[in-house]
Amino acid sequence: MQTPYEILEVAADAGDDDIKKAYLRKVREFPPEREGAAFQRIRDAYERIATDKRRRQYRLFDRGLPDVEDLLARALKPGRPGRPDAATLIGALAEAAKQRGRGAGDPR
Amino acid sequence: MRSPAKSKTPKSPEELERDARRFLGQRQFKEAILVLKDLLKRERRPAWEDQLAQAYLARARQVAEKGMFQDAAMLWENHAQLCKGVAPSLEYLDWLLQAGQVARLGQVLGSAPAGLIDAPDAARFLESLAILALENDKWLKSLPADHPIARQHPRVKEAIAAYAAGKDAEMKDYLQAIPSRSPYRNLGLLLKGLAALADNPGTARELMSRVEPASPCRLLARSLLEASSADTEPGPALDDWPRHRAVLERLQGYDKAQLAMRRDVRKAAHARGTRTLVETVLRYRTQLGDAASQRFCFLSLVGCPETIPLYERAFGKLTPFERSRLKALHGEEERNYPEASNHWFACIDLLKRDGTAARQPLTQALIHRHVAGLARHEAPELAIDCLEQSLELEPDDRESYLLLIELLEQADDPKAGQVWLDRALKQYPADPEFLGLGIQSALRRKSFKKAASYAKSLLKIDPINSQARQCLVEAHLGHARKQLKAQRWDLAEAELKAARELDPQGRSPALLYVDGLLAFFQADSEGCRDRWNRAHALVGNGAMAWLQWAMEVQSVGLALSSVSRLVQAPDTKTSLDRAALLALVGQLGRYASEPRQHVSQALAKLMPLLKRSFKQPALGEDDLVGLCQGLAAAGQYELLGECASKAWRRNFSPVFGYYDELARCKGDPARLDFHGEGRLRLLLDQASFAKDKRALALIDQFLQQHEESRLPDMDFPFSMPEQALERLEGLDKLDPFELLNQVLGGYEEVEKLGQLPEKEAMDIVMRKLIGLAEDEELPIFPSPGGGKPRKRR
Repeated sequence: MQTPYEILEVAADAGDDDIKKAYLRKVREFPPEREGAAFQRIRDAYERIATDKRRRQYRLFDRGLPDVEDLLARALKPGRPGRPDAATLIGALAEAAKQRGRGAGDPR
Repeated sequence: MRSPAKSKTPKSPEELERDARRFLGQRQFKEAILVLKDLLKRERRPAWEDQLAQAYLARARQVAEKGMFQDAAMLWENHAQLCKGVAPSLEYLDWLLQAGQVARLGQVLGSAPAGLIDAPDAARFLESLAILALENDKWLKSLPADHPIARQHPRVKEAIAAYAAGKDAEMKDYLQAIPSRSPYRNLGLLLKGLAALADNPGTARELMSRVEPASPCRLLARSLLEASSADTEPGPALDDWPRHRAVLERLQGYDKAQLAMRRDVRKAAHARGTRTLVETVLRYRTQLGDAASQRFCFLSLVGCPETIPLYERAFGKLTPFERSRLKALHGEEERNYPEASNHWFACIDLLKRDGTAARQPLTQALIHRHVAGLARHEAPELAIDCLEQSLELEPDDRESYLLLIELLEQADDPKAGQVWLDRALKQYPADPEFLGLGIQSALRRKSFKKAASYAKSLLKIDPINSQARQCLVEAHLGHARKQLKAQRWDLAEAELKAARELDPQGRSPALLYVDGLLAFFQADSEGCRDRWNRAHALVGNGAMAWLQWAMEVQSVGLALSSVSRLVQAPDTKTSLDRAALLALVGQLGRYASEPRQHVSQALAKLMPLLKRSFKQPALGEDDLVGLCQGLAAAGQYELLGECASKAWRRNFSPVFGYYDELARCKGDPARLDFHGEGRLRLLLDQASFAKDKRALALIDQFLQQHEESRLPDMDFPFSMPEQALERLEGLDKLDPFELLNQVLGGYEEVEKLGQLPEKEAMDIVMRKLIGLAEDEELPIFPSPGGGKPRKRR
């Protein structure tokens, strides 16, 4: 999970001006009329750290949860894509064919 | 459940049949099968055989849902034995397939009617069979040699091998020979999609999206679609599908070390306890990155402060402040707010001691506010204390002022609330919310000048604010009344002009009434009549209009009779409807709270009308309680007595007996006499019996006030017979029901009492209470605290 500082791409000790500049730059990049969801994320991040008071509140009371998948996604760097061998591929398909009791062909 | 067959005394067939029907109805097929088998041992009745066949089939489906396919297949075969000539169903074939019973499946397919497995709804079964045949040739034995699956199987295997070897053209050649309706058609799409994945992801996605939803190839196709469109690696959704995960990992090109790390971290995340996860992350700290690992472990500390030493060994010591902060957040997570608050206070102490940190007061204030937020419902006094300290440290926080004022109001501490409201207004002089609160508070304190001043400020910011306008109009009217009383007509006119400017549409009846008074004093009878008629029309309710008019006339020192010819008198021969009556009583309450004088004179003309209105059947119990409350608050005891007695006669709650007694005492508990006290005590028991909490609370409170009002040196001026005193002491020790029984002698006598006039009933109760015979004279009881006996009612 990204911190508001990471979302706005500012340093953890950035001041009001730097944060506002970064916010405006991001809004130009993700305007609300075209990138609604991204804009909302940026806006929320800005709201959380826009002033010294809010940054203190964020540092004191924020309870960001540790996210394993986020940690792995940041660390894992895929190499050259390969192809599964025939037995692995057939094994995966047989796995689904045998598990029809768990939700037929579309288990998810 | 105990088996019915094991019961010691054998059951009759009728009983067993009843049991079987019950088990079938409750979907307890296992038990139903046992009972029906027992029945059939006694007699081969066709109806029982049919029921047993259906029970086998239903039970087969039940166990199949639990994944017990072998048992399901056996139960289906039992069902088929009882239903002679029944053809194998697709679900039975599917259970054989899932149970891996190749030989049995081959036998069934060999003897199955032609076309069973070629029917359209057999497609899923056939596709599963075709795919399992790729993994193990034994499945081919269950099919006729010339079946399409058997014929296409070698080519599909070749196609898969060609794909794995990167020979895409060869793969396409093999797949071309597969017909479009083949059980391998979805696998063909998947293979083509996989081959296109690296160079042409758009085509790959298009091909994979065409894989049919019910196909066993669908999960892999969908996982690949998600992974390619979101540009992410497979998430935990594939945790239960290790072979699918292996395919995706191979396609994404992670090396063995990365895959091992991912497997271990995920495994630790699924295991119980944060400690294992933190240890695993620390083990892979280099691969995961130092900063990311530190952040992850730090975030884990809130959920599990026990891992703080582990964290500190890896990343260095935390400051005492940080330790306390993490423990406070942990307390909040555990919903242990007292512990959380203690840790937050420890943080504040540490900040106070650390003189070097910049702007510490703000951080301290923020922590105080945070604790106030945690404590506001459970410990409002702590919340108030925290908010006060926070505002002393940092006065610029309007939300804290608002919450503090609200909490002080709830705590019934208007003095402190006023202090903080004044500070808030000093801090935010142009804040509409605080100005509105300032108006309300000033009006409560009858500081009308202050209220008007706030209203003026508020109107500058919000020119259409109705509360501020109303307040200012009232302030001008108040001044105008004074000027009229002092016969300074020009000054009164100036005030009225200012009021008119604030009410340009003439919506205030009070303004029109006072305006009419000015016209009257200036000998403009027509102008006066016109304004008062307009005001009456605005009010709408004739009785209410009369009341308001009468109050305005008296407020400038005029007698009602001197001007009544200029106004339409209310029709006192009718009665007020429910809404008009409630509105009028509400208005009386407002006059009492201001307070205004001469209300009784203003009401005199309306008395018959009001008394008649209390009788109307449209008034429900709640309406009458509301009226009694309003009349009690307005101090209108004559009307209260009338309203309460009318409601009491309609057999409503004991609360009306209380209001009746309150009216007799004119609201003064010290005036409650011995009869009244006895009546209230009986009502208290009635209310307790009827669980009428409202009546209980009101009567109890009034009796307590009555006790408190008694003078300490009160001396009864009559001598109560000793036997009566002893009896009263004895009665005092009884519980309420026993007391009632002893005093009134049982339910029938209580019923009789209800039919007697109240005075007569009370006399009987008093006689029984103090143990007097019917021919003995009842003493005249004094009013407690009064010192002298009052005349008996």
